[in-house]
Order: sequence, then structure tokens, then C-alpha cells
Amino acid sequence: MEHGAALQQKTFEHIALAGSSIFLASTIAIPLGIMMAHVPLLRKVLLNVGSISQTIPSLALLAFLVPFLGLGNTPTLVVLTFYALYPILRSTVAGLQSVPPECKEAAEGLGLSHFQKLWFVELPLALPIIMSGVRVATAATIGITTIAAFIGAGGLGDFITQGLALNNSSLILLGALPTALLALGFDYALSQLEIYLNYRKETSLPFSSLKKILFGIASIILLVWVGHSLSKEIFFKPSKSIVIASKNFTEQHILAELMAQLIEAKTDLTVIRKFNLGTTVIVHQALLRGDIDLYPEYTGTAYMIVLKESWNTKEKDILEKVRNSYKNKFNLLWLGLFGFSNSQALAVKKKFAEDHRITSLSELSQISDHLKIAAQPDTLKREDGLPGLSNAYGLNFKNIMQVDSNLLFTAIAHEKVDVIAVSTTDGKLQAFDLVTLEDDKNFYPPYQAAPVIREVVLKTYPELHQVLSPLFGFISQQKISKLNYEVDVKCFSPAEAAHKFLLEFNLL
Amino acid sequence: MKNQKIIELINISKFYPGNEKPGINNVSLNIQRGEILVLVGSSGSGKTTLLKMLNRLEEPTSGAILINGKDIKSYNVNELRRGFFGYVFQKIGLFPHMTVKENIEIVLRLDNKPIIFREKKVRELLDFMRLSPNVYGNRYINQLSGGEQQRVGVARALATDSECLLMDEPFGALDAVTRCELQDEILRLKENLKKTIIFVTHDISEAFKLGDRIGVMQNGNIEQLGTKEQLCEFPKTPFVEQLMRTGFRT
Repeated sequence: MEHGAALQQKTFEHIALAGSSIFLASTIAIPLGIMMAHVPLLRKVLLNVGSISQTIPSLALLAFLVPFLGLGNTPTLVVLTFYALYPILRSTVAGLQSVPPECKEAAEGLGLSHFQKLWFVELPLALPIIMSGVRVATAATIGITTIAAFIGAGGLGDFITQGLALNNSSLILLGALPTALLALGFDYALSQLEIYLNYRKETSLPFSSLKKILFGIASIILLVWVGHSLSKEIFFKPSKSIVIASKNFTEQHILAELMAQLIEAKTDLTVIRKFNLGTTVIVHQALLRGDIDLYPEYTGTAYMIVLKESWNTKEKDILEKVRNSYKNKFNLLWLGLFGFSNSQALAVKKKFAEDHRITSLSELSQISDHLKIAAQPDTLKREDGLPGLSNAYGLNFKNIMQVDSNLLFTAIAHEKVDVIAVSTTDGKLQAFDLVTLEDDKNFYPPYQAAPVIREVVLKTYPELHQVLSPLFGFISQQKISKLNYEVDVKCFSPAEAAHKFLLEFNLL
Repeated sequence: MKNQKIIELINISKFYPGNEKPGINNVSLNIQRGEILVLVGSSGSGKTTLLKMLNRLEEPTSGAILINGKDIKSYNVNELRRGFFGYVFQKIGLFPHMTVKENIEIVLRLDNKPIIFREKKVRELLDFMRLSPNVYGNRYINQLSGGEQQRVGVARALATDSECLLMDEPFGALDAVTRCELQDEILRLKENLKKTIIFVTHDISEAFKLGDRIGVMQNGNIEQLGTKEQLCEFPKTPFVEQLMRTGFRT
């Protein structure tokens, strides 16, 4: 199996991340829970705060932490620990409250100190319930650990997000199945431990010392590994290196690979790849912190999502605005445009366009009342999708179908519909012999792609501009569509597709 | 040694917040070394509260308690509970996650007594309570009957060789036959080990059987303190007289 080694590594990363968060959460939550069991006010406040904390979406929390903690293990551990705290807190409190009052009275009557009472009587009796909380937290944490992939901390989530990005369902399963199995496995193992620890069982025996030692060694190895990788992340960075990032979809992977391979070939810089990061906001924050140095971005996205400007159709060119704002506000530089724009568009069959002599949306509006269109659900609903477009051009389709993105092309190929809403760089446009219609009224903002780089990095390595310049203005709409096609349809990896491209055009 | 005061209660009162009537009302009492003093009364009479004041599970609002002539507060509370008093109560309170042996030796273990000493002590105590150490030593509590559990409870209270045993309705939850057996054990224990025992019960016949002296309690007062003959022949109050004729109406 080609992913065997990767699977092993990702599983190990996954277990290490989840395991150390559970360990951290337990060391915080159990002592805190003990305090809470004895201080009613603290208990009331923290249990309420805790239950509210569980409703915060994990990805949102992660994105929030990136500006402070950067990318990688640290913010992931913080988020995972945060979510594991509450179940363990709750069960610690519940466990201590379940200790029979007569046992507490006996402990006091025998003259045990508070600590001795806690250590020899209350905690052992509460342990099965505390363990059940740890178990719940572990199963949940193994699931949530998949979000680590969004900020480049690894784990099985990498397969899932890559699978989603590259539209590859077997990759998704490669991540999802082991995650589920891990969760189930750990749940089972801990439930056995729980039975083992339960005093009500007559077979209950304390751990043999050998098992205690093995368990101790395993925990230490885990901790050392996590500590090592954490410290590596914080302290170790090759002296001459550049970190290239990408967002989590095919085209981003390809563009980032093209740049990475050029830099590797033409300079002696070490390229560190942090691909497949969660969202625009996460990537931008990482760039501001200096966790990453370079990544491909689109003018429209930068304008609306990063700079939070709203799109005005009279605006011809936003590139200058974006370029200036990035330099002044963030000390980030936009290098040369790659030469294409990844925007939204309506596509028709080439033959249909020729037969009806239409090249633009204005022309399409003349005949739209005879036509059927298919689009993805979100395009149908969003105001900047089909509804807004229809208003701008006076489009009035005979029939509108809501179709999943994978089925759009099948639908038009089988002539179930005449028009589909697509992205302008979609690799399948070529494969299905479709043409996009010109947005002659500038309804969609331009999404011109270009590398964004930190100013200090370019100052340190000025040769980068020279090295990347063969790509500027070189990647046409057609070329990027072909590259997307190679990955999405022909199933090449982004690295393979990029390499082939660079060789084909003699850029290396 | 006879008739030497081991514990002295002087004008002990206990008030509960929001309650005008005292839980204990100005009680004074001497306890002699080696006697069994039984406090008898209905529930709410204050007998358990009074008992718990002796090992400071409860604190009086006013008054003083002297142990061997010294104020109770001059002793370290945990040393007092470990070394001076053994405590047995109705709910037994054995620790379900420990074996019989571990339950009995816990305080010895906390005091870092050597293992050989502990083993020997546990065997002695189980033998004394007529539980075979080989059969019962490694059992868990849920594998014992109620009577066996309370035998272990008494053994645990005896582990530290404390001078004084505090027993709070220890046999209240047991059936009549088991209860009778255990009452005989208490008498034997007093005879053989020369313990001072303060015993709380609501069962007047238990009080008659065990008590060298009996204190009848009602509404936080000691109505009368004396031998069973004194109580029967010279009841001081109508309540005591009534009690001697009919027992408590429960």
C-alpha cells in the first residue's frame, strides 16, 4: 500500500497529540475538580463556564489562537486540552460526590488528615467515575484531533483534509477510518481499565508492579516525544530556509509546489512545506507571525476577506489597492501575477456557444428563458452567487437544478442542463469541452492569483524574485485548468503535476 | 486505677444556628477509666452529638472537655482520634476498595508501623473478633455479612490500642441474634482489654446489658445518670420512670 508509511506516521502523530492533551487535561482537571468538590461556589461557576466552553466550535478557537501561538503543535495541544478539560472536571466532581458519607466519616473518625482522607479513601472510590470521564474525553479528543491538519500539526486529519482538497474519497477514508478505529480502540481499552479499577468487582486487583512500570515508561516516552517535537518547532529552524504554505484545495497545492520546486532547484534554500492549511484567515495570521513566509493568494479574496472591503462592480482593478494595503499594513508583498483568475463563471458546451453565437453573459441573458441551469447549493443561495448574477444580467432560467459539484459536469455532458455554474480554473472544463462566458458587466470581482511574501524574507533573499519570475504572467487560464485537471481527474499528486509542468516548459 | 476520671465534660452546650433550643443543654459528666458508660435516648436527644464531641467530630458551643485532666483542644485532633479513641458507628464505614486486612491496618500503615507488626496485629484482632484471619483477611467488604462487617469495624477501632472506644449505635442495623453475639463480644472486650467504652443506643435493654452506668438523655439534657438498679429503683424524673416501665415508643 503506497500510503503505508505515511499512515503509520500520521497515526503515531495522532496518538501523541491526543494522548498528551488528555494527559495535560487530566493533570489540570483532576486537581481542579478536587478543589471544586470542596468549594461549592467554585464548582458552580466552573461547571457552568465549562459547559458553555464546549459549545465553542473547535476550528474557530483554533483560528483565534493562531495569532498568539502560531501554527503546529502548540495551539493544537491548547485546543485539544481545552475540550478535554470539561468531561474530566465533571467526572472528578461527580466521583468525589459519590463517595459514601459513612466512608468519609469513618476516615475522619479514624484520624486521617484531609490529604490522607483524599488520597486513601476519596480518590480510590471516585476513580472509576473519574476514569469514565477520561474515557469520554479521550474518545472525543481523538475525533477532534483531526483539526490539527488545519494548522499543519499532522495527524490523521491530514488525510481527511487532503482528501477533501483533492476530491479523493479513498484518502478521506484513509484518515477517517483509522480515526474511528482509534477512538473505539481507546474507548475499549479504557473501559477495561475502568472495570479493573472498580472496587465493586470482586476480581479487582491492584495493578501488578510490572504493569505499573510499563505504563510509566510508555507515558514518559510519549511525553519526551511531544516535548521534543514541541521544542523542535519552537527552537529549531534550518538557518537558510523558507516556509511555503498553501490553503486546502488543489490549485493552491499546485501553485505552492511550483514555487517550492523552483526555489529548491535554483537556490540553496531549504524549503519547508506547510501545505493544506485550514482557512484564509489562518494562513494570513501565520504569515503575519512569520510562521510561514510565502503562499499563493487571490486578489478578490485578499480584498474582501483579509482587508474586509466590499466589492463594487465599478471597480476595474483592485490589485493596486491590495498591493498597497498589504505593504503598508502588514509588510507583505504581492509579487507578479501568475496570469490567471480563479473566479466564478457560467459555462456552456463549446458547440452550444458556437451554435447560439454567445460569448458573454449579456448574450446569454437574451435566450436564458429557454435554458436549464445547474449549480451547487451554496452558489444557488448566496447573494454573490446566482441570485445576484441573475439580477445584474436579467437572467431568467426555465429551470434551476441544485446539484453536487461532482455531478455538475455529468449533468451537462448528458445534456440534462444547458448551463452550469463553475470555477473558471476548474480542470474539468477542458475535459468536458466547455467554455466559460465572459462576465462583461464585472459582476464577479477578479481573483487574480499571485505569490504573497513577507517583506523581510524578500530582503534577506532578494534572489527569490528572480527565481519565481518565470512563473509570472506565464500560467494562463488554460495552463492552470490543465494542471488542476491532472490532479483532480488524472489523480497525479500536486508535486508530480507541478514537476511535469516545470519540465515541459523548461523552467528548471 | 478504679474510679479515676479519664474524661470530664464541664457545662457542655451546643446550639445550632437558627435554632433557639440547644442540641446539648449544659451537660456535665465524668467518665471513669475502665467503665462502660451507655448514653440512652430517643433520636434527637443529643446522645450522638455528645459522643462525637469526644473525638471532635462535633464542637461544643460552650463548655470544656478534659481528657486525662487536660483540655481536649491541647491535643492534636488526628492524634487524639488515632491514639486515644477508637470509633465504631452504625453505618460501619468500612472502605469498600480495601480488603479486611487493609481496612484494619490503615492507621498503622499511616503511622509507618513495620509490616511484621501490622500482620501480627491484624491476626490478633481478627482472632479476637472470632473471624479466622486466613478466611477473612483478604476478603473485600461486600463479601461479608452485616455482623461480620461490624466485627471488622470493631477490630479496626481496636487497631491502635486506644484507651477508649466510642460506639455510636454500632449494632442498630443488625438482626437480634447477631446483635446479642456482638454485645457479648463487647463485654468480653471490656473484661480482657480493660477498655473504657462510651456506648450510644436507643435500646434500653442493650443499655441494661452493657452499661456499668447509664445516662438517660432527653432534649439535650441528661435526665439521670446511674447504675441500672439506681435508675429502676429511684427514677429522678417522670420521664425516666416511664422509660423504665415501657422503653421508648419508637
